[in-house]
Amino acid sequence: MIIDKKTQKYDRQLRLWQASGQTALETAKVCLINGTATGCEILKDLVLPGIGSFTVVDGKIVEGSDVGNTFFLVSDSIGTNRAQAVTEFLQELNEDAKGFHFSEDPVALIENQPEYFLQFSIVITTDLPEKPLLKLADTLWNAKIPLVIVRTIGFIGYFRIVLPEHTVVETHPENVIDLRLDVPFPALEQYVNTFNFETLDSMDHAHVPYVVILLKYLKQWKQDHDGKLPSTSAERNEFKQLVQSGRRNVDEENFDEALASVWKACAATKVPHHVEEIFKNSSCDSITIESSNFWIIARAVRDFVSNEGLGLLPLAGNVPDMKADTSNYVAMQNIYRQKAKEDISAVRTRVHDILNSIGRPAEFISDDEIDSFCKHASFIQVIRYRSLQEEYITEPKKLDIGRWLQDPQANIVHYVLIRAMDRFYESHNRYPDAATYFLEDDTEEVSEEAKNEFNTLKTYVDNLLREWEITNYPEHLDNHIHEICRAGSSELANIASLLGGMVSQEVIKLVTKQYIPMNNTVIFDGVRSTSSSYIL
Amino acid sequence: MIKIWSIKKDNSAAEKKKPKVSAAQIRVQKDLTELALPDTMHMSFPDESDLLNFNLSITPDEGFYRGGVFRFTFNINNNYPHDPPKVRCSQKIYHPNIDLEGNVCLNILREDWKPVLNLNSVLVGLQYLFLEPNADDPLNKDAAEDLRTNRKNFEYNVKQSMRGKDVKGVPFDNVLM
Amino acid sequence: MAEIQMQTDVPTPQDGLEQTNKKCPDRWSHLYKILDRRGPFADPSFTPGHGEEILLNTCKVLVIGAGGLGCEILKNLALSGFKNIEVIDMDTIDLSNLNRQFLFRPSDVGKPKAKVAAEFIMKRATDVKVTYYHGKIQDKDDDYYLGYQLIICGLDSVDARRWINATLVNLVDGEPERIRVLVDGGTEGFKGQARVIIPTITSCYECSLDMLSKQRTFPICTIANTPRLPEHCIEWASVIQWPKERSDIKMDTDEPTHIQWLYETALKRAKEFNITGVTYSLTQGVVKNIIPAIASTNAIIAASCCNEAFKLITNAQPYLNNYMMYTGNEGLYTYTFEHQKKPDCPVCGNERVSMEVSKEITVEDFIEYLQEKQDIQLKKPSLSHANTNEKIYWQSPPFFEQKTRPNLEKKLIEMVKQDDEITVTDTTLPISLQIVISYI
Repeated sequence: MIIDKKTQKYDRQLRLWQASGQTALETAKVCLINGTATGCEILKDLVLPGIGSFTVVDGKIVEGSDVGNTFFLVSDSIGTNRAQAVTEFLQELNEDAKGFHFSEDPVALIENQPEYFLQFSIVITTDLPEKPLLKLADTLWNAKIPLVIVRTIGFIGYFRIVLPEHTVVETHPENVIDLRLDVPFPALEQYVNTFNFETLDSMDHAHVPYVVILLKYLKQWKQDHDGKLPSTSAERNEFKQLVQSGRRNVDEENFDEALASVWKACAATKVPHHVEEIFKNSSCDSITIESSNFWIIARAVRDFVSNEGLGLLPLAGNVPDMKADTSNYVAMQNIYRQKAKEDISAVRTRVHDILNSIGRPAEFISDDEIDSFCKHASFIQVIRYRSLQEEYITEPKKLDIGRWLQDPQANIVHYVLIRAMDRFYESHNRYPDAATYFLEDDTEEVSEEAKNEFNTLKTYVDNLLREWEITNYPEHLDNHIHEICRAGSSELANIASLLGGMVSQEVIKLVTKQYIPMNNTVIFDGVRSTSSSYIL
Repeated sequence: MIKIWSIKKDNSAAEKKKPKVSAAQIRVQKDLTELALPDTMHMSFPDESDLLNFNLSITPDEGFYRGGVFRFTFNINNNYPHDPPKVRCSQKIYHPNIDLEGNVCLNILREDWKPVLNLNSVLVGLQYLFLEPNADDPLNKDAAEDLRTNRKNFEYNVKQSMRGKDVKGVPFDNVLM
Repeated sequence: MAEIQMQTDVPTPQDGLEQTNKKCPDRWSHLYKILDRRGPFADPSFTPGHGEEILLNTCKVLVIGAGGLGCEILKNLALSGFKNIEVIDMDTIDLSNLNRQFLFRPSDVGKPKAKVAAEFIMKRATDVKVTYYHGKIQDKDDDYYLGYQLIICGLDSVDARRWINATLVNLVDGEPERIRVLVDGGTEGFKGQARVIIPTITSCYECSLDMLSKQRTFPICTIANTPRLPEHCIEWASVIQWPKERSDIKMDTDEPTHIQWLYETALKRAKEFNITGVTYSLTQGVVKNIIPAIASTNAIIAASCCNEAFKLITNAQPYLNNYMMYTGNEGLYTYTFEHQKKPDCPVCGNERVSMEVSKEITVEDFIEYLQEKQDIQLKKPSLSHANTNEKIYWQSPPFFEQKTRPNLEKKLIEMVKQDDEITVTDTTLPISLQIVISYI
């Protein structure tokens, strides 16, 4: 077999998101506003794995300081359009990703032609002031296009995902075992009944799959206990004794496995709480021509659960490895797989009925997509992000911020400072930038200018706190104000690269719809080397 | 805290070099010097300065394999004790848990190995294989079936194989020297 | 944490700097703000305005590994003002590296990573000197490692990490000025960690060995007789069938024809047992123990390592004490904590004592003295010469006990010179004890 070059090149990532994730990545069109050091690092980590296309929108001309912190510029780039210069260097990383540049001031573009951004599957901004940011966020929100807002300042990194809704089927949980030990389906029961432990020779006895052992003894237990499973810990211990009594010698690892799974076997199989919540969602109730595939299948699964599923989700059909001889294991595996197939087929019929009712053809949703949904049904996720409008204007998280701010170790302090810094920018058209921190021994002279810079920024912080009705000013804020003044909107290559990694990872999760993205803000503190995530 | 970094220019004080003794080696040294070897086991080192490669012989004084001298090679890599020692039987023997190529089926040599185990644990495990061969998790299926179905016959076949005779047409090494 | 004060040695700036600034004005302006200004969190000893000279002129950094992390590390160091960098890597470039190792192009496949990476950085970031060594870290001696202020490791091998860790811990030899800080990064899929190891002072790599995730292994009897998973069939092909059928050829997991053979052999077995799921890719993954790797995680971990390096060298901010774990598959989390030294760590847990003994003492009497000495309480000590590794007296195994028994009657001074070290192992010791001998 010859493995094609592309598969070889992407081998190490295909093991994480498979061909389906790769296809999603390769069809994504990402837009970066401002080719800053951080912006380029984000793109680097998206171009390398093969994003479909990237477009850099930037009206700036390259300066020496850009070359100093951006790997995708050289001294010859100085004086040229930054959008074009970085695009050319980024393009070199991977011929599969198509690079475009647009040398236009993004602030003006957002003001005059916001619909320009509707052509992309995701938009990332770095270094964009508050006003145009709010407008862009609004535009993209209405079009349901994800926006990622990124800031780096000194040792601090911040990013925020804005998107009305994100649904994930392939969350890649680490443990996907669904064996239905408490509620064996008929085919499984029949299979268990074919075993007669007494007549087995020692090798066969040591190779009975633990699933069969547990089901056998659970059946016996239920007969003796009015059809109930062991529920208290005393009962579970008693049940363990029962299992133990069937063991012939200490070497029987299958009995070890059975005993280790008693607790799980006695837990009732049911629809997980978070999936029930998803089913209760209004999007699941009213399916229209507008509904996404996710909600159509979710509705079909919900209906399956309340009908032929008998209160349970479709079976995933995976059987973990266990001590067993090959033929028994494979036979049992086939029984689970067969049941999973039947469940999927029932769900598929329901999906087709729903599609029919909204005037869509059956092929509108592929069988693979239905399969995948059924196999991951216990682990599906819906994330509803808050809009930037809510965060900044209509419903700021006043109480939470006030509470979080009291902890001097909490990274929320950087959020307050970034917001204050943005206000500083609104009125001064520059970011705070001065040495304002000096040793207390008076060996250094403190300039008026430095004092002013500190006090001005502090005024914006105070204003924000007042708006958020935070009355007790946390003392530790002062040091962070000094640190922001010191950083003077500098962008350090290390922090830029770190944020580049984090943001690109979340972008990959958003476009592949695999794994669970963060909700909604992450702040990294490179002084303490800690990060926090907040819902703001 | 570490304040300012600079290279110490004069390294003459560092003339006397310690040899590169790896962490694996120190750990093996500790394991070896603390072994309590029973009379039924004997260890030898073809290269005395190489502690990572050695031979072990087991002379069971009871059970099916009484009277035989069974030889094993131990190869320990520099990832010890993160990786288990590689143990092989260097003779062709008739045993349910050792195949004709010398592979040994002992859980702590593979799936159940952990760094807190040591060479002593492995030796105990090997010794146990000769006292209580496990017929239910076979590596040599024929031998295991023999043991499961007809202990007398198995005992006879073991004795034959130890003398270097054929069992079911397969020749074995004489282990009675 | 112990206080270590090091000598300040700031030479005068070199002319090269002027040239750089002419060609690229304000190149370091982002860094200057941090380096030239005092900050509330910086150590009080931080001197604004000195950092640039330290970074640009005196600091030599060694980067171990020019792979996924290494490429990122080199780039970050070059953009953080580090001017003297050496990189070591023994590998050559493979096509599967190109999804993250961004200093390499398809035309570089087959070339040494260290060379291509070093040359790329120098081409892109002028005035940064990157030298390289295409070979093993084990080829280099103590003096080599002493020549760098800081060592940053981006390795994928446990073995190599343990080696460099032990080397740097042993390097210290009781003299704080021989401490070389190790910044270590590692990634696995969406997870990773960055840590600062100050040899002999913080916990070391060996201390945390039990945190490593274990490679998945299967019982050999399952592989041989009761396969259930596609992995069992693949292991059967590689562990059992290869030595049987192809014992004349050494298996090379980088050789596609070998993987092909294993795949076909495994597939045949899987069919025979009705097992599904054997693919070429899985075969490759199992036999090479492939760990997924992506650009994003490498960027995060490498940047964190370089951020710590920058802070350690410039003092502009406090550095990480001492471990940051990162996980990004479900949300995005970091966990920063102080990993504790392990008392029985075979690398940094060795106790070291000095003893004065008579020139006349025999080995046997010395052992008896160790057993009677209240403060160490040894039961059956075995002794080796720490510098030559020669066995002095071993209690076990009998093979060595017999060989070393004649030494018991010898005078200790015949085997151990003044100021030499003895390594002692004993059941009562967590790992070993080093005794420095002086004679009276």
